[in-house]
Amino acid sequence: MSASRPWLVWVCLAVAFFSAIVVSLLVGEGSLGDASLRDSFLELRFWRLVNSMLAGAALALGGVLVQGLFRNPLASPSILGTTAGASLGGVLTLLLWNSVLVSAVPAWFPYELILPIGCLLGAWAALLILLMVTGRRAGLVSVLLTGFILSSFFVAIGGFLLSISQNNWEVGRAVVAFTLGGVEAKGAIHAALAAPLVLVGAVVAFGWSRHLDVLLAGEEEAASLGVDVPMVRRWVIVWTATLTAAAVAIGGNVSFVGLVVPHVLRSFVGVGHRALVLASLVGGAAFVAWADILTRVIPATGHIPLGVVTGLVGAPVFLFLLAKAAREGRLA
Amino acid sequence: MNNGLLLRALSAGYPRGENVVFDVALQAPRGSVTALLGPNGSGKSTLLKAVLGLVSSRGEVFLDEDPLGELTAVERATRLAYVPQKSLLRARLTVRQVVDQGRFAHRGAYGGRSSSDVEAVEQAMDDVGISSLSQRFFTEISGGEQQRVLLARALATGANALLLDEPTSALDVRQVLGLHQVLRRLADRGCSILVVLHGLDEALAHADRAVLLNAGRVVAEGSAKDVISGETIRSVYGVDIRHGEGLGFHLLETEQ
Repeated sequence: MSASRPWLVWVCLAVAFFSAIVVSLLVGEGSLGDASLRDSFLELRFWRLVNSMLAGAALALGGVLVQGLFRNPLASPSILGTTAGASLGGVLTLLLWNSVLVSAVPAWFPYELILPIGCLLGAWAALLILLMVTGRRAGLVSVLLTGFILSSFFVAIGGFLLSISQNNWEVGRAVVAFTLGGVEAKGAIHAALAAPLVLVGAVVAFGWSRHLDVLLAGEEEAASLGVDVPMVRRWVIVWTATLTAAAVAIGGNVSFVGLVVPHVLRSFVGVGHRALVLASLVGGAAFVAWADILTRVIPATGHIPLGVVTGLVGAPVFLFLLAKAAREGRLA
Repeated sequence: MNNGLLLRALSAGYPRGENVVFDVALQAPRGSVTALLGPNGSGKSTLLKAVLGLVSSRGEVFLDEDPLGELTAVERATRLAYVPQKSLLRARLTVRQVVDQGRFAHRGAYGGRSSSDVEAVEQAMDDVGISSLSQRFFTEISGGEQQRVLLARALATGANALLLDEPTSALDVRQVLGLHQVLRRLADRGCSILVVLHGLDEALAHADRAVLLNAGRVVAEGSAKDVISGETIRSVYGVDIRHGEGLGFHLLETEQ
């Protein structure tokens, strides 16, 4: 598709994006036929859609950045440990809600933002630890190992907190729902928190595209061609962390998007990061919006979490890509 | 005064490791090709990386009397280009896209390709004779062709000082002669060229000057003919030179 008709992939992305908007507004609990409730339903669905698209775009952009930095198309933004940090921040916020936060947070502060801000703080704390441990001139392997260790550590703490939270059924349920991901009940205020981060992140990712293109040749060659490698590495890590934190803040743990979306789109738009950033922005938004639509239409008793749907779609796609890469001898 | 590349008391090595290069002083003047020679492990590649600031080093490196360490990465890349022995590039980039990487330092983060960028890329591919490969994927061409693409990328930077790390190691005899022809043209235009070579006969045939390294130290520097002399080579390599034997080649212009 990419070689003979390069425009076709952009048409497909546009169709997936705009159809997700239309279908997302039309599908869901409650009938739009009821004139008295129509506006309320549409408003709820609209903000749910916006949040799902922001989460998807943020995760896919994070994926592009981290895959470019590690020169590995199979890298996921979660390898930095900041996704687990954001998740742990969210779990901690939920656990401390009744005992500390309700009384500590001033009355004028919007309560809906406490959880997302907890996620952002968790991610940035993880980022700070990552940067402090690895230092200014650390190699990618130390970044990778530190991120992996931090991720395991935060997941273990999250699991521990989850097990002790089972004493309180309400809190336990909220923690489980958060860890499985979802954008239901997310409104304008969540979008207002995430949108600036995603927009700035997109502009930054676009700005780093040339650097990442040259980094494909390895850090030494890139440095000889004029790339300030330590600076690019540091800022790419900071923005990957921020984008994934924004995604976790509004969507909880939504798996596979950061890995699969850029990887799939790369085979259609090529390895150049400018096109890849734009395609992933649209593709990530459309993917998560469609996954959110599926959570509403898949027949099930109770609600299917968004993270489960993205995993159900993402895991087979990833396995397929992995098998294909192995067959073609591209897997190290 | 344009001196080209000048190294003074340069020692270099790898983090947490011992130095590999010790107190090296050498010059690669403008208008000439300087060969950097030495046995395996003598520190030739490390020395090039030290000049580029890719390994930790102590000492001074000047380009036309400007300390290289005080230039930004972008400024340095427009004045000093590097041709690695082998690229780590595994992504599916076409030859043209790889050569275009050489223009990175000339562009802003958000700007597009200018006509001078396009011209420089075309000219570089033409100079090295790889225009016919421009749409092929870099990963799908031969090792020798890849080395020529890396040279074209270095030429596209527009830099007038060039460091090359064994650029002929994967080339056939015809391509070796073609590459030295390109280097000679660049030197004639006033470029400063420091090229790591393995073949002493190749250095003798194509370089104006030579610097011989052994165990990280300069043991001889001067005209290629003086450096590649029986006594020096015997002491460093443990071999004798016999003149008047073996093959010599020259490029048939009509086949270019």
